[in-house]
Amino acid sequence: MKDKKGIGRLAIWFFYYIVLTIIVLTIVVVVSSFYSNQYDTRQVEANLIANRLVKCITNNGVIEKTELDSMFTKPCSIKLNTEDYYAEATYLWEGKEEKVSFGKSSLGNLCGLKDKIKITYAPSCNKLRYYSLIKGKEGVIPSRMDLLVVISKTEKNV
Amino acid sequence: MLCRMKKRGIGQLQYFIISTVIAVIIFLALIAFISKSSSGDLTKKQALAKQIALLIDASQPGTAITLDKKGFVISASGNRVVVSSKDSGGGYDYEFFVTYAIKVEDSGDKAIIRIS
Repeated sequence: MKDKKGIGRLAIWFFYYIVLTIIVLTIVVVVSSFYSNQYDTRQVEANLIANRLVKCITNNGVIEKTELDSMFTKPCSIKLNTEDYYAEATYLWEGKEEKVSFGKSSLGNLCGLKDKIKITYAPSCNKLRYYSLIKGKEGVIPSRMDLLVVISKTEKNV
Repeated sequence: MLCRMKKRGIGQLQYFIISTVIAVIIFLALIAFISKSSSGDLTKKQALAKQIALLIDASQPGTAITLDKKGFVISASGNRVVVSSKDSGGGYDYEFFVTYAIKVEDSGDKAIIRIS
C-alpha cells in the first residue's frame, strides 16, 4: 500500500517535471527563433546597385550602345563578387532583344524557379525597368532596359 | 498515528517547497534568457552594421556620416563594416559594394564615417 502511494507520487512528480521541461523548451525555441531572424536588406542593396550601374553608363539621359555592352566590366566604383551576385541587362535594339550579364548565372536560373518551387535559401531577385535613349551608329533610339539584379548572401540575410 | 500523519505532512511540505523552488529558479532563468534575447547585442549589431553598409553604398565620395554608436565599436576593414561590443570581442560584419576609401573616426558617443 505504502509502495503504491510512493510510486504514484513519484509518477506525479515525474509528470510535473516533464510538463515543466516541455513548456520551458518551447518558450526557449520560440524566443530564440524569433530573435535570431535576420534583417533582409538585399532588395535595398539591389536597388542601389541598379541605380549606380545605370547612372554610371548614362550621360544626360542618353546611354551609349558601347557603354551598355560593357556596363558590367566598366569600373563604376562598385565591386561585386561573382559568387553572391548576378546581374542581367536586357534591352531592345533595332527591334531585337540584346542581353549582357555578369556573375553566377545559376542565381538567375533560381529566380525563374522561385515561383514554382519553395526554396528555403532563395536569392533575392529584383527586376527594374528603365526607359532611356540609346545612342548607336544609327543615331539615338528610344528604348527600354530591364535590369535583373540577383543577390545571394543568404547566410547574412535569411 | 498523529505522529505518522505529522511526518507525512512534513514530507509533503518538503516536496512542495523543493519543487516550487526549482520551478521559480527555472522561470527566473527563462525570464533572464528572454530579456537578454530581446535586448540582444547580436540583433543591434546586425541592424547597425547593415544600416551603415547601405548608407555607404548609397553615398557619394566626400560624404561624412555622423551616427550614434549606441555603445558599440564601429570599424571598417576592406569592404566590410564591423560592429563589435566594447566588452566582448565578437562582432558582426557586413559587406558593402562600393570601392571608395572608408575611414571611421571616433567622436565620443558618435562615430564619423568619411567616404572618399
